[in-house]
Amino acid sequence: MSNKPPFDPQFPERGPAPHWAESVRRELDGHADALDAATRSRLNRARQTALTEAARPRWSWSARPLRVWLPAGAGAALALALALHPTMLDRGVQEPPTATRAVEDLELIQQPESLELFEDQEFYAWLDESTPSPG
Amino acid sequence: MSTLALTRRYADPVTGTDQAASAKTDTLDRFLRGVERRALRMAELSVGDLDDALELVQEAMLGFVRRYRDKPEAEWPPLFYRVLESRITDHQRRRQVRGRVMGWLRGGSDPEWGDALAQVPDPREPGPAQRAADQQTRSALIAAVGRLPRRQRQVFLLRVWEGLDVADTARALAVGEGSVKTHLSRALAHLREHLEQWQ
Repeated sequence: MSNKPPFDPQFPERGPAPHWAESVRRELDGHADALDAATRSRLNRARQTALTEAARPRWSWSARPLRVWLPAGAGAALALALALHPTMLDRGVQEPPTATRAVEDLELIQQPESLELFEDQEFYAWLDESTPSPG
Repeated sequence: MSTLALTRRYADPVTGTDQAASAKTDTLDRFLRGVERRALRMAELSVGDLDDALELVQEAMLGFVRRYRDKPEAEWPPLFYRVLESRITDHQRRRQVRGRVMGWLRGGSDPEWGDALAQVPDPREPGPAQRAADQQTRSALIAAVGRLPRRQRQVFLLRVWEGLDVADTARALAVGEGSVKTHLSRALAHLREHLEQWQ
């Protein structure tokens, strides 16, 4: 079955070639050739499957056709839009950043009249209750 | 430029590519066809079951084609057998794990099942009935090769049967060249001893 050259007379690396090793090789060849038809058929199918794989082009970025890149790009754009969407929707009612709030509080504290107003809260509450409502 | 010339100018590279791909497929087909039966018998000697061996050879063919088909043709034999040996090793590891789990499920405290690995059936010990059949269907020489320790058997089959040189055998088995020579020497000694007893 195999097309190998005749047994190497220098085999093994040391000493004379074992004459019986050639007999073993012939026996093994005969053993391999003695496969039944069903097994040969399965081997053939296995080989054809592998060859079908070989016929496919190798995967590479540059070899990707437009029909692959286009949907991939569209998908990425859609994902980006979905990720940004809530932020864009809530922009009108968005809470000011913490740093902005701190500056506003600081400005409020620095106004003395405002502080006095807060200190007299009880007086204004009393005034509000005791003043009759118009109408 | 004429239409015919234009057609040729743009069609030729495509045709050339197709021809190259077809030639590569033909070369791969010849190579795989040449090694498949020996590979199957080698796998069978390792795992002890023809169906398992067929699956392993199929996986090896696919793995080889996916990874190494663009390598130079001269490098294919050791690369193919390297993939096959890798698959065989994986298969045997899975079987050992299954054996351990089965041993544990049967009760690890039972001394009879204490060593789960020892309970894993030896694929090269098919039982009395099968042994008797083997005597009729398989020569004593092949049976002796099958009884060699795994590494010795691999080296013997690749060196003696497949005809790989020491360097390629070492590459196929991912071992050093010194290891190949040592295992081959031991395999030959074992087989010689067996043959002397048999004769």
